[in-house]
Amino acid sequence: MPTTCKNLPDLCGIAKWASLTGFHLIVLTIAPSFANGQVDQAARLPVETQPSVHQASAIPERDEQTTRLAQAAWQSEVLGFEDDPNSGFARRPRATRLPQRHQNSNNKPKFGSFGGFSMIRQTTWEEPATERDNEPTRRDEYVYDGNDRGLKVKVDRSWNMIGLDTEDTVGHFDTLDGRRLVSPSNRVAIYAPRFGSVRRVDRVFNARLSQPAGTVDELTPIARSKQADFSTTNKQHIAVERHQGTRRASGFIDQTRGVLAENTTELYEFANTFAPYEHLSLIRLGRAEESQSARLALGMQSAAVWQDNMELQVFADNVQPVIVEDIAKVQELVHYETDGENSILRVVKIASKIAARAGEKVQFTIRFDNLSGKRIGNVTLIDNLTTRLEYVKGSAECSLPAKLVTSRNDVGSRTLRWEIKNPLPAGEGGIIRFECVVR
Amino acid sequence: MAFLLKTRKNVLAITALTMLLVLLLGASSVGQVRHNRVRSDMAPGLAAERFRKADPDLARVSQPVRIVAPAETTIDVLSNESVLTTSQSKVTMGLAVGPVYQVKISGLNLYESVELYPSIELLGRLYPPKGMQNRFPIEIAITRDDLLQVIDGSMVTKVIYLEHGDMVVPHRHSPDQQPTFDVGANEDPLRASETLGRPMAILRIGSRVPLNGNPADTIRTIGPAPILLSEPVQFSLGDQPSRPALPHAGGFKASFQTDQTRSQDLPPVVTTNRSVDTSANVLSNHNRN
Repeated sequence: MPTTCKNLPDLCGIAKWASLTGFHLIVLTIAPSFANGQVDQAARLPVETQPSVHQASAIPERDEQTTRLAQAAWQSEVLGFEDDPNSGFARRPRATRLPQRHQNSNNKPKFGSFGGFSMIRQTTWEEPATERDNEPTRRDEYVYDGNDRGLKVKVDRSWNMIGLDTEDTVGHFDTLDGRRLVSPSNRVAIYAPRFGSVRRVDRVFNARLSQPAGTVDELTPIARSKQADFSTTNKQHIAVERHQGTRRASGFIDQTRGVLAENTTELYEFANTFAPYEHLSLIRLGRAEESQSARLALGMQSAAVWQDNMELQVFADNVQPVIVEDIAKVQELVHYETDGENSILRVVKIASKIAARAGEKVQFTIRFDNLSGKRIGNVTLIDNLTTRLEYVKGSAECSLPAKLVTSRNDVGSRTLRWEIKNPLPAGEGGIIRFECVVR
Repeated sequence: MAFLLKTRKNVLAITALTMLLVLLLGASSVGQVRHNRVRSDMAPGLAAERFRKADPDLARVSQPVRIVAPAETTIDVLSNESVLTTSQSKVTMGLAVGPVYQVKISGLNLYESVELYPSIELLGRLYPPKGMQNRFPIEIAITRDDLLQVIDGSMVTKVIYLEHGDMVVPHRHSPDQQPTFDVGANEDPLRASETLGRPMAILRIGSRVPLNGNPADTIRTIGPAPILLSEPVQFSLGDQPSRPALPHAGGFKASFQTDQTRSQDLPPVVTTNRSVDTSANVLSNHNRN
């Protein structure tokens, strides 16, 4: 059943098809020019040096265009105006709502998106997808990274970025017709609750009167304390028992990973093999396959329990996860054919874990593809890490020649910025990997 | 105006409207002072009871709670009729929202003869992915300073809260550590914790000690008894073997310059307003097509 395409003034081209059976959305875009192998060779892009974020010590004054973009971003966010001339893929989800404190646990979460694809629909990102177990979820127990929350990111001609909030992961690029567009990635959720405490110390009001009458001063300098220092053999017992248990669990993971290494797919032009969580055709080849949609949802939205020791079971038995038939399955497929005039950058982000305790490492993989029929240039991927994620220095990789610039952001973490050196031809893409420690 | 006061109904209506207006104005001025039905200085168990009544689902789950005390101490869990001896300083147990639980901490360095009986009142639960309940307990850290304050004669009240993503302290620490904020004696730590996240538990140290030498007589837990659980396992990518690099013949290994070396190799940054001219600038040999 055809659907209207009012939300996509830039993308609506020749034909579209959609089934209205659900609320998840996948977008496949085929540009006739490169689909037929007829890439426009005459189209040339300029190569422009991009200033690094933290190098721009002296922030240039906003010119007229910058002011206009800032106003447009504010209007689209606050007033709900949807006229976004700076959209590189499609519309982005609105600002995520704040977590509701003390909300009723019967308040069932809603699904709003499926990875990076449903950004084509104007939706609000909702709770992570554990709804299949009829278990409520709370947003404040998760660490998020990706997407474009709050004000929409804009990039002006002077490379000033407006509206880059924490958690944002976006890519911006230049088109042949002189536009500078922004494409957000999907949002990744990692279950990582962390706790703090507020302490109050109360003393007795008449402490002055009671202290002289008490025996506090006599109790403190008891001579037995020195003798007790030597009777600390309990430490030995505790340490030995704890360490044995921990090592056994880690050893199990080692065995699992070793088997997985035999089944990994080698990637041309990339330093390392694919990790199990990256073994998706969307990440390897840039093609979305329906059969892997459930696993994609798993990596993108913490859709189900996916512990490390379960990854091997999926691969060794060659069995699709049981969540294929669940509500996280793609239920709506929209096919767009563009006329080759639009420039589209798709940014997909997945994480190696859906849950992590403080101190654990998480690998992130960003796949970006030029889905249009034209070459795009000055491709830049930016990930503004949230407070809970600490970038592991030197862990970044990219399958394309790129320059990585890291800088401190406002929340005590880092902003990662990959500046792809060469223009991205039609239909091609790249992969970025990096590691973070969950604080 | 005078004709409005001619009939009794009009007079009554005007009077009622005036009283309503006065009440609204009064309420708006009084509303500056917030009245809280749940406070941390209520009798142990009352706060949890009100949380449980607000959300009956809380009473049906056993929430793993992990208590971490100084390494030299020993934590024993007090149940209704018995004492669960652990001989450990880190204990994970399943608790319910509503009852007040109590543990015994002993063996603090220089104070080996001192026994403290903190009480724990659970206010909320976590909602982890299925199968991960035991891996992500509510962490309650009891520091040495807490115990010394109590030994010195103070009463320590700690409200453990789940940190909100926007209020997180940008500091890495292990699960055994916990950022702590102190509030004054005239402030309610429960209120303060609500501004930082979601309150999960109230820990009170320095309250009543057991009589007659029987710790189990200290408290009567009405509700599910605590259940001892195993310690959650910490996974880390660092424990796994690294993936082997591929011996590419024709490929290349993309490497990055870090921010230390980048400034030495890169040309100066151009920040001028350069317009994108698709005809004048031509791609260099980077173009692989």
